[in-house]
Amino acid sequence: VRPPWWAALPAVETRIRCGTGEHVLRWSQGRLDAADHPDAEGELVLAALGGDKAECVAMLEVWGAHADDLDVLALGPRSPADELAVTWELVDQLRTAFGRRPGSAPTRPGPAPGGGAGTFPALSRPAPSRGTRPAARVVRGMPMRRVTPEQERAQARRTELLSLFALGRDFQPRLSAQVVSAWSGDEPPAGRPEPGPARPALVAALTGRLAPAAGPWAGLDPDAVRADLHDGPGWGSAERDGPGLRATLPLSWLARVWAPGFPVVGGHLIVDVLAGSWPRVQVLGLPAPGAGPAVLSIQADGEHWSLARGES
Amino acid sequence: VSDHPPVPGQGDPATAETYLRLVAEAELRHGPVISGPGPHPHRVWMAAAILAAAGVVRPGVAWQIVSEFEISAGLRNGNVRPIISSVHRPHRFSQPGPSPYRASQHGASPGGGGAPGGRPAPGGPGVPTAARVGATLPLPAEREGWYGELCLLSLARTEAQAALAVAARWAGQTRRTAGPRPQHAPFYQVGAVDDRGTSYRASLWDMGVEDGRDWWDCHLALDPAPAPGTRWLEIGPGAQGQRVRIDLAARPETVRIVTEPVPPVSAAARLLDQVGDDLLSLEATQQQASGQLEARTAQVVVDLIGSGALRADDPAVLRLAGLGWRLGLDLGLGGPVPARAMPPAWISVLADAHAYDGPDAVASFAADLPEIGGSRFALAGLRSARNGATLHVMATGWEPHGQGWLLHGTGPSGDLPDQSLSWRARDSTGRWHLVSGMSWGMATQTQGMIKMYLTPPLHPEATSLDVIVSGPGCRVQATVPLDWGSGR
Repeated sequence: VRPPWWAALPAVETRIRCGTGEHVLRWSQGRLDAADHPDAEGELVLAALGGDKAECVAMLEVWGAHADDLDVLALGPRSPADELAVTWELVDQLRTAFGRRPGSAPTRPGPAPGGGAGTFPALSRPAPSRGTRPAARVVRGMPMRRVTPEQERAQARRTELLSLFALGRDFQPRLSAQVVSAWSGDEPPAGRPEPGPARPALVAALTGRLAPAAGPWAGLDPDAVRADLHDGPGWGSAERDGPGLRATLPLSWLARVWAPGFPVVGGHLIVDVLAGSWPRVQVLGLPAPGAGPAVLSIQADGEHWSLARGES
Repeated sequence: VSDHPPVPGQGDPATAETYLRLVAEAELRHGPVISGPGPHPHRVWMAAAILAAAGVVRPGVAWQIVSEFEISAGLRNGNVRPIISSVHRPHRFSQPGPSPYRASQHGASPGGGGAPGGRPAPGGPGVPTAARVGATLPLPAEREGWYGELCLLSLARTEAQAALAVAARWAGQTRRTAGPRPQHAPFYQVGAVDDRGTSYRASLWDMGVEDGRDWWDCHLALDPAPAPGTRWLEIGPGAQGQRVRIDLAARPETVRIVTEPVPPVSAAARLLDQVGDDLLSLEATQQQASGQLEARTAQVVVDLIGSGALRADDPAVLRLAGLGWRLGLDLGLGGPVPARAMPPAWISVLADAHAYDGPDAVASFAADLPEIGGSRFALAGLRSARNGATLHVMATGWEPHGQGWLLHGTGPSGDLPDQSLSWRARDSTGRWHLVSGMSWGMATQTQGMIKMYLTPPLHPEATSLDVIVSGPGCRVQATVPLDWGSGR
């Protein structure tokens, strides 16, 4: 039995402001929960009937609304080095600029005062450095054009998505994996969208995330990597194609391999997860383009993955 | 199920969209900084415009990919402007885009005749018609002593709009002490009256710009438009109260019009052919092809082939390769291509690109073209000069889009190149002429007057001109006489 798509992803948490206090949002095993709102669904029903909607509950609703949103893949990070300059301040500014729509995401689900970058990963790991990447901000006085109701909905939806990105670096790949799982067949068929018209976007999502890892692994510029979706049984292929690398991988590779952060481990391009769960999983890895896959055990070591002891 | 026959070379939209998205992914990896609106579009915008113009990616999809790319770039470098502006889809990306299948099915109709085919169906408020004028209205002297004249070529009109196609110039001065010639075009407030006593006001629709040889190509609007059944109009007064009468009831002169089907050609191939026309026009107008133009042209070919819109061995690619080689452009397409693989128009223009022998003259004619690609046109005369000619056209249902995009790019303020119709001309000596530019004077959303600049110039011995309009599956050719009038 294949492990679920989230098997190699550890739980993560963040704190957001909710009402007058701070609450924890926790992602684990493929779902986001608000620990301080045990009956979030009931609260949503009450909110639909006109009651107040707690900010934590609103975030759960937004997460669910974007769980199959291809914009997540179009805008989200492609690699660990690919950082988004999205902060709660930006989200707040956009909400102010666009005008908040009733029933949209909470006004200020930001970090607790003094809470650093807004997230803290599970297991008390230190928050990753923000580096020197500039933070986006709305330019004061930027002219705002009149918008139609449809455009207003689009603005609100985009701001909602950015609020999910603002949950932090740990949540971004998990949200991407969530979207991929919805499109790759890991979700129940009843809720699975038809991939046909979305295939170009999915191929681009796969290529954009495979290339930064597979290019250097094959000794190539990432631009020389071509990827396509593998639809049949097995894991696909990855071989030299003239001056480049051509790979076909199942879409679920993004959720199972890329999102946990081990596309390349110990000189192997990881192409599938066979068994196990975080922090130790058994995978299939290619030592070189065109080579047969080897079964490997890898384990998490802080933010990185490495070959488990005894593997070489 | 499509009602339309497959068009050779028409690419798969999913393949083309994937290509465009991968271009965007590659660009994003390189950490682009998206500048504000300007004449230098970024790589993704340019590719999106090309593929949308080629009809292989729908304009809405192209815009979405551009928008996602710009937002993605902004999220990585702290620029939120694309996030703010992303909900506002530019008008040009809301257009339905070229339809490679929108081929009008006309039979051959030499010599005109009933619709469909030669002469347009009568009536219809938007159907333009033209009436030949062919007279000069001298104007009274202006205050400084200079006097001008209006060479009235033709009257083009629909039921709602009317315009006189005019070639204007300063003709002389009444006293030797007159000051320098005015910089503006000669104009005198004229009007019109018809056989029923109705008065019309003539106003400047398009004064044009001086051509460097003392001529202005103008359009004068008549308000209101003459009603159906109007027998004649008198335009004036000019100098000494002179008036010019336009006989609207006269039988139209015989203009040979042929409408014929042509083999379906994909929008991508038409786009490359238009690129070739543009390169030749630049050559003929003695504008040096810049390195940027060369690179942009090569990129167009790469995008069309890479997206699957065209095969590398498509005749349109080979034609452009041959042209590039002859023009000394490195388009990355290899060496020489036999002349037989290139259109006669290109061979002709290559030979006459630098001709400077056009007659200084005007030709008044009128020709109402049958419907092509859902649009209607009336030809309303031309003015010839040493280095080219200006053809006047009234259009309904079509307007020039994206003129000059190859030279200037097609940035946020530009239009997508329009491939729905292309225009060429051939004079009676066999010399071909390309359209190096168009000036569009819009009257309504769907109607206006066009000045088409033909290059190279008309042959001095030409006696007629074939004006050829080509659509995706149909071609209309009108042969108009060149009875040179005043101005020679």
